Amino acid sequence: MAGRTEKSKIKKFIEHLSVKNYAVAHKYLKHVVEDKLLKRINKATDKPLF
Amino acid sequence: MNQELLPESLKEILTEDNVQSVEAAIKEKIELTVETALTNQDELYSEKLEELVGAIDKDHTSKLKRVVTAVDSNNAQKLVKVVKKYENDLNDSAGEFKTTLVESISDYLEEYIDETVPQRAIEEATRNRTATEVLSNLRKVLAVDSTLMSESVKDAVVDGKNQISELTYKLEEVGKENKLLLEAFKATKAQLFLEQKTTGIAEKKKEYLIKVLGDKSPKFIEENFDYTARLFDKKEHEKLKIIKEEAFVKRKVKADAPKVEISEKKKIRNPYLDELERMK
Repeated sequence: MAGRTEKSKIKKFIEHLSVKNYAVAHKYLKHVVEDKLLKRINKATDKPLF
Repeated sequence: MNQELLPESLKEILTEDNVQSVEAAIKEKIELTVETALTNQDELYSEKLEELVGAIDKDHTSKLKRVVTAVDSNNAQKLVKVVKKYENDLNDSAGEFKTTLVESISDYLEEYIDETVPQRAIEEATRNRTATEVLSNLRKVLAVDSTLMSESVKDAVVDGKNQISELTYKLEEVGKENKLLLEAFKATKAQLFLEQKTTGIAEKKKEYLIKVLGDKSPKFIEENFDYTARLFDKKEHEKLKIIKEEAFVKRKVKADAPKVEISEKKKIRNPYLDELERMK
């Protein structure tokens, strides 16, 4: 799941949500949010401290 | 039949009746023959007609089959085209909708994260963590870690710590002394101020003022001295009034009694009046 792109994860989320497979849909959504947060953290980490 | 048409030889043999009979028989024979011929003809025609109808049916059937096949094929081709077109349209619009939906969800999540976890907080947390890591690395580089600290640095740090503790203790002592001195100074100042204010005042009033304002700050004394003095005066005035009333009630010399001439030198001493005089 980690190798998938963000968009493909969202697609999978919609796919599982539409067939009422909420547990798997939740997992995909969680990964999407985590990816977005990681992106922001990495962006903030790149800024120099001094 | 006309008998005159017969040959002369037969005219003598056959009578009119015989001729009529023969004629009737011939007519009957002809009718039968015609009827048979017609029947045969009908049968023949029927057979031919059936063959013809069969042939026409076969021809029409084959033609119709070809027509139906052609129409079916044409309609099937058209239906295939329609299906393909709708499939393409559906796939295109569905794909577009899917892309739009994915982008919308992505944007919504971005907004939600922005609102819930602001970028500023993330940056602050990252800076804190980076600073901690930098500090840790610096410690490692400079070898001042608690476990790897060199003896010289350790001694210097211990000495510094001792000095700081000693100075802190001294500072606390000095602070306490300073506090005591300040309190003593304030008390002295208040006492001096009170002494200055009560100079030339009756002893009792002075005692009262010292009792009330003795333990107060100079500022408080300055603000409340006049009020306290006025309060004392008011109380004394009330006391005096009560004493006067009591003295008037208990007096021995009444207003309607004969007047006794009392010389100035032989004045009767009344303890109440003495007290009043003393208080004035």
